[in-house]
Amino acid sequence: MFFPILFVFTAIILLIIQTTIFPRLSLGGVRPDLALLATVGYSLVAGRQKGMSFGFFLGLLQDVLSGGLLGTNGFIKGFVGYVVGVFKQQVADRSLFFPTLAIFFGSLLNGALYFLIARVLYADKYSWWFFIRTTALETGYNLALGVIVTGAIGIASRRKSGLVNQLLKKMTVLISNRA
Amino acid sequence: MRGRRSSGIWSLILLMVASFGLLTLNLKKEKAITTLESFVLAVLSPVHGVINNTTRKVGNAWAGYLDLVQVQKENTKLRAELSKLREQVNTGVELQQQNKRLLQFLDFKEKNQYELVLAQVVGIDSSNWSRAIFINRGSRDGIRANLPVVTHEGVVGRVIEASADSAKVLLVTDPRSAVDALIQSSRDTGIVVGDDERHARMKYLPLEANLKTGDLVISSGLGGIFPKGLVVGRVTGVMKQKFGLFQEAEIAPIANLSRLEEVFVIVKGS
Repeated sequence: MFFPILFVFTAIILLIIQTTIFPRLSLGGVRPDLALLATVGYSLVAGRQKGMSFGFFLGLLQDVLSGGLLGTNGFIKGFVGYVVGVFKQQVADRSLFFPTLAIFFGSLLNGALYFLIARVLYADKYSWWFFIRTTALETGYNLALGVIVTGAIGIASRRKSGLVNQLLKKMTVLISNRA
Repeated sequence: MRGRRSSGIWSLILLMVASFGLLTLNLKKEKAITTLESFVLAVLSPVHGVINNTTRKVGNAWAGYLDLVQVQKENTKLRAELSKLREQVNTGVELQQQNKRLLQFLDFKEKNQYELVLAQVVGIDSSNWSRAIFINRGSRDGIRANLPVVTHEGVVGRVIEASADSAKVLLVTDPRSAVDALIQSSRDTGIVVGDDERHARMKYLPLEANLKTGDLVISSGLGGIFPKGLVVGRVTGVMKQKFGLFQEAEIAPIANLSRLEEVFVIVKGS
């Protein structure tokens, strides 16, 4: 019972931050996609199926809080969660470079999927330039935030290796077992 | 037992003799006493000084600490007062600004014959792929899909979804938005569609249309959503193609869409 509540609570907090604080940090109208970052992070820890469920749930919430069609982000984030989960299984590398790479490809995939869906649903209403610009800015921003977060975790785990690693291990085990 | 008591008496006597002896010598100002005193003073003076200084310092520190505690208390109190005053100033400034905005809204309402519902912006789009805002008025206040949303400056967008107490507004900068518009000076018509956060494009303008930067773009009233004459934006650039039937213009929305706080929903046009 505790875990689903935590699941929903985390998702809501992330989206509140996304819609309140992040618009103030936007560059050219684009801000980091916290829902995407959380989905990638969760998939890397919990695997493809759980990552997909989490991504789908977060995406749906994001759709409710955006002007887009309900289900667009649900699908995209769910798919990204699944692909990142598969990526995790295939790649042996477990260094801090790995999540950064996952964020990079996750962001590109997110943009590409949105482009495909928008082209199918809205024909030429969206220009190529809009997609290229938004995807490039969003990927860059996500990557910057991802590098900061993973870097901070890396530094903290080196300095307080026992405590941080224990905490990370406990979280990983908790998420893997309970999700 | 007896021996112990007698030695005690003897000690007492010795003490009395020595004391009285010293007192007598002291009264007589004997040199030996003065020298002894000086020696003792010379030896003990530095130690005394150190102890005295330390004690004084500790005493001062303690007094300082007590003062500091008092000052700290006073400081905390003053900070609280300052914070309260700042809050009051902020509230005053906020009210002043809100008052200014509402006066502008009132002016807009008086000049136009629309039936308006004032709404507060309560949220911003969570995605980078669409441009929408959320307002705190819904179907209970007569809000429904496809109603135009404006500020005293001009067009903001249109309602795309309304629940009982809130509504989703698609901004004019969203690529899915389209407003039938005309250039105020030349009366050339076109469609204003969203492009990115700060810009829109006016498409389907005739090639012979004479556009210049700064021209005002207003709603034509033909789209069925926006009443005629609402300001949409200003021309910031013209893109004339060598081939093709139409030219395009870059439009900067007149309303500051990234800093919206209150908006009007036009529930009934004139």
